[in-house]
Amino acid sequence: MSRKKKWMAGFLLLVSIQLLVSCGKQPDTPDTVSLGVACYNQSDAFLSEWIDCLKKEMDGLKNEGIMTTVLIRDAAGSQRTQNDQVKEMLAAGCNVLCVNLADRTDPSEIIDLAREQDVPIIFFNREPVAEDMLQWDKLYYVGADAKQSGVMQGELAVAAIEDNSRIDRNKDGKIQYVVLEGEPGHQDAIIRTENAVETLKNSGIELEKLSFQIANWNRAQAKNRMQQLISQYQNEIELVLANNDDMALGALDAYETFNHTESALPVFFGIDGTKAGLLAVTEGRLSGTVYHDKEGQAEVIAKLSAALVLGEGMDEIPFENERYIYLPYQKVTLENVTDFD
Amino acid sequence: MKNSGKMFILIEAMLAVLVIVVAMAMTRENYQGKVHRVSAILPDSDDAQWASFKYGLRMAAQDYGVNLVVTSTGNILTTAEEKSIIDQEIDRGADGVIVQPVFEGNSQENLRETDYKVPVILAGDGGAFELPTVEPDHYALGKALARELMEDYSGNLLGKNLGILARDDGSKALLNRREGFLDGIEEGGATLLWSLWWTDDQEPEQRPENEARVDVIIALDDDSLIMAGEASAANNLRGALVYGIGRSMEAVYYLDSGNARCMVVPDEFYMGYQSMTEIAKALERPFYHMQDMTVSYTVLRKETLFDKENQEIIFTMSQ
Amino acid sequence: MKHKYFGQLKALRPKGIQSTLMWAFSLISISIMLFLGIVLYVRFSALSRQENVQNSRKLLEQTGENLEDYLVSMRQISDAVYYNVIKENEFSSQKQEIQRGMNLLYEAKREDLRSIAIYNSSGSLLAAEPVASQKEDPNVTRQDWFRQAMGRMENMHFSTPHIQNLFDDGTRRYYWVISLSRVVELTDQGDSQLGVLLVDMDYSNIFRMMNQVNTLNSGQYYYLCDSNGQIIYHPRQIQISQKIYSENSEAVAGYKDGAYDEIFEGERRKVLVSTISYTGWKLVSVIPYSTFAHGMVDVKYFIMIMILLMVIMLVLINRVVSLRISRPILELNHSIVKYEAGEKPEIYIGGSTEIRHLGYSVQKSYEQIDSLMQRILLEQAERRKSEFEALQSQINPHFLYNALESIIWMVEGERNEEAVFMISQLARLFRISLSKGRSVITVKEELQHAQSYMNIQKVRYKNAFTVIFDVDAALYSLCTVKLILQPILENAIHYGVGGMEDSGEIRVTGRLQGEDAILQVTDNGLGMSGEEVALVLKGNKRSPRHGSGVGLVNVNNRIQILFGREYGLTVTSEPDAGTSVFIRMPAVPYTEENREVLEKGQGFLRGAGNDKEAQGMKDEE
Repeated sequence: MSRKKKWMAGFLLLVSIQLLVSCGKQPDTPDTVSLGVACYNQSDAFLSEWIDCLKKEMDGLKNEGIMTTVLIRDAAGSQRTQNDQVKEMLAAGCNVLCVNLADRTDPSEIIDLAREQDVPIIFFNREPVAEDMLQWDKLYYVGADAKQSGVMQGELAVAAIEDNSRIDRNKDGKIQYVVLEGEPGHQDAIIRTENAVETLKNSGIELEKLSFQIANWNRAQAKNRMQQLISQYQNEIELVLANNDDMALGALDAYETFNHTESALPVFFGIDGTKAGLLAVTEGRLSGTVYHDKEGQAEVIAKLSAALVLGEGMDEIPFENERYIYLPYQKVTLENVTDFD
Repeated sequence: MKNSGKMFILIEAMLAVLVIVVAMAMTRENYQGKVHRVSAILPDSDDAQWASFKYGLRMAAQDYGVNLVVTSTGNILTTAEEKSIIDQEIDRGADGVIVQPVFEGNSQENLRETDYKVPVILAGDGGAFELPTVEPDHYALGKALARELMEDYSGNLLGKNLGILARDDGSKALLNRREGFLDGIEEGGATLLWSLWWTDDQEPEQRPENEARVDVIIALDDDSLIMAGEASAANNLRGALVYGIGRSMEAVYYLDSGNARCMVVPDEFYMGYQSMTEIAKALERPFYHMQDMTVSYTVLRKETLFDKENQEIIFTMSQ
Repeated sequence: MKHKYFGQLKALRPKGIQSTLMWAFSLISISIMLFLGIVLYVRFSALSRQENVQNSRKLLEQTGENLEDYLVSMRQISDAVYYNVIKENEFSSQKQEIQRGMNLLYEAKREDLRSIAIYNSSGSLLAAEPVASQKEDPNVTRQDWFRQAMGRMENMHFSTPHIQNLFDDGTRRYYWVISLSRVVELTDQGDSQLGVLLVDMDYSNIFRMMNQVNTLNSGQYYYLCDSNGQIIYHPRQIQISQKIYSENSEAVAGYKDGAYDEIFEGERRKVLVSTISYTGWKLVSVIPYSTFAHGMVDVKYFIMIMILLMVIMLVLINRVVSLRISRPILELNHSIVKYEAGEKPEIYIGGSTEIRHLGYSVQKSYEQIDSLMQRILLEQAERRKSEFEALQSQINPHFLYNALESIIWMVEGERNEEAVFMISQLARLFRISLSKGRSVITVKEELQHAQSYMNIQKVRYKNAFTVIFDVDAALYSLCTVKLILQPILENAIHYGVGGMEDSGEIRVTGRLQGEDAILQVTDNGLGMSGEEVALVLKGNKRSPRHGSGVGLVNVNNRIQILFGREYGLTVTSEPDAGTSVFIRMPAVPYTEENREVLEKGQGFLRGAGNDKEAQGMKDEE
């Protein structure tokens, strides 16, 4: 009998020690939002402005009494590097991740790493495939409706063309255009291009596609492509649609090197509304752009990350399909460009 | 018989003791794989200008088997915040701390050299503290810059106007650099037209392009150099040449693109490596006193930028 | 000095069985275990080192292959650009095709490439993908890759990693690349010119590959250097250039493929070298010996603990075994020591069968000794007693008094001849009784003594009985103990025929039987019952009545003492019929020698040792 008692006592002692230890191990109250931001390439102008907005928003949370730290890493275009950086951020104690995938078809490793540590991920700006988003229930996406941006760009072009008959320089009733695309395979690039062109077509404008080139969202590459196009097509190009402002500016740079007179220039449209892009619109070099609401996105991400960490406030967030948040674009032309600053 | 009985017990006891000793040694070997943790506290920890320094820290951490944690901080860090972060890190189990101190204005009551329980070493700028410090010779940096300027003008700066651009962060380091520079060009005969000490919040108005036109702008720290380089690239400096002390890849870019004429780079990698080494040594040997150390610098010019040694400097900046 | 130590050592040498056993066994077990342990450890560490080296070599080869694949694919790109794009197209008119071709190839390998560029022989850029905006003054002709390519036109050149100093892509970034350059033939307006095709590979891929291989924390690392020993990749690259660390890459670059042992900066290490084909680069794996030891430390301790445990067990077993063997011996020894000291302890019986047997034997021996000693004492006591009694009987006053009374009566009755006869018989009786102090006389003398006695008794008892002597003459000269017949005759008279009126008869006969002499005294008197017969020869004397005091027991004892236990008296009797007493003695001829031997009391033992004497005596017969 006394032996049994001894065993019982020993067992109880062990159990209570376990409990104490595990209690002690409880992390101190998670009132700090440690955000880890992994972006695919910080030299992308839009992205770097976007990150500045995010930093501001996260700082702003301090006023609500929420402590935040933000860790930012740049993968320089390599998904592998990004995976390593995510590992690093998780090891540094981030409790929510914000990931801008370098390769949007390959999020599995990041998702696995985060899931092991029970750290939710907010993907942004480069959308993973729907199947991948279903891998875990703590995956979210914040972005904008690419289709809308494409349509808006198309509408801007339509308005400009209808307004200004000089755009059709050779007066053949058709608008000769070129498209500067982002990355191959990028959902935004594909959708924007398609929709912009569709919108133009649907509005009854006759189009003739001269070329479209991939410039990887990069201004200098776009300049290079544009130079090649110019040497190929000379003055035939009447409309330049670029998937983003940087590439549009690159195209502008290309023309500058050729020193064309203004009347010989085509019209340029971009998307994003970066500082440089807005400036170009103000100067009239860019005929229009579509504003990518980085402030809005930053705000919602800050709110979402706080809600995920602190556990409250999730219902205030406007989810679509439970995990997606799309913010609307806005058209920007010379008239309203001053609104965006 | 009694005798051999005692012998027996003695032998068994000795052997048992040996077993315990060996077992303990074995577990201690395994356990002493307990890795030391060192925290590095830098203002605005993700800023690109720390790249070389952090790389040096990482390499030394690897070499000495130490776990490095770079505490992430925002870009505005007050001394009070820095102090509390230091305490926080120590509480969280850091065995050693490396700090780039932040100075506010002229208040010298910053990092009290309280007896920290763990070794603490300062890097970059030791201020007036008595904690061991690893830093470049700031006076020498200024003087080197001056020397370069003098060489470019063959010692004759008569009639040239200079502007000095520096961040107002209350540190003695910048003051020393300035002093070194001014001492260095004393013989040149140049005129110092203005000294612009800027701070983060007042930035928009305080920019070198808004000041009077000068022939040469001297930037005493990395952020200032970037600012000047940017302005030069935008053609806002009305032909002023830029010389400066910097440490980030962006600053190098401006040098490369011709917007800056000459750049003096303190050996940040070495600074990081040495501060981590000192802490590691202090952790390994209980009575080790950490030393103050001075790191050297390199003068970069566009022509020599891609020399082998200089390429390595840029390499460390890109980590 | 030496002697002192030896003396001490000698003193240390164990003396007891137990110590000896224990020391011997312990020493043997410890040395065996040590030997085993060391052999095992050495073997194991050699094996594990081999395996480690094997694994490293495999990894080295694998990494080398990966690297080669990478370089090969770069070469393929370069070839594709040259053969499929440049050679087939003309620069001035077909620039677009060239651009498109380059674009295609670039896009296909975007992750690994930084740029593809074509320069003419004076360093002007002809075409580039993806970015064509050059930096202000890249000074192409002075860059290493250009010079290398122009230097040897037939080959392709891989440069060491360096910063790409050609293009400005607006990102304010610097990229590390490995340049693959070659001289190409360009066609421009029908004219064939020389140019340089540059394919810049992104170094970060190789960097990451090497980093991954180097993530093992065991002190082992891999690095890459070119054929001159210049380091391409090293986990401590910057430390080396800052002189914090050093590496002997120049020496190693000269090694051929294989494994080498070397000592560098005082540290022993193994170096594995593998050459990357075409470039002549060396992929080197360095395994410091301390890595081996590090992994082995656990094993070392483990083996030590194992050895110690085994030794503990063995020592314990030794102890137990030795106790089982030696303790019984010791106990036995202890008992014997006590015994020797004079105590009478229980002899220890225990331990193994042999030791038990020893114990039993010792015990029996001691018991035997004991009883022998006791017998000796007893016999000595008996002999003293019987001698004393015999002595006493020689001067028994009652018999003398009665005989003298008879003589007085005869003298008073003036029967002088009878008195003279009585006195002479008495004299003869006493003379033989004394026998000058001898114990051993001839049978003849004994018979005379008996006759004298009987003559006297006949007179006293008024011839109530008759005595007949019928002894073989051969017996006359044999040895006998004196005064053996007389007591028997006395008994025969007193208890046998004394009460009978005149029909009592006592016969004394004697003859040889084998080697013994048998004397017999038979009477036809009262006889005794069987129990009385048994009692008669025991020491339990009935209260002595009128006898001379020396009983049958005494006679028996004296015979046995002198001649041995196998001789002596035997009594048979039948109530109312008579009693016979047989005296058995050995037939020993009477000589001085024999007399002395017998009287010394050694007994006349037939058998070994005494056979000679027996023979001797027999010879004298």
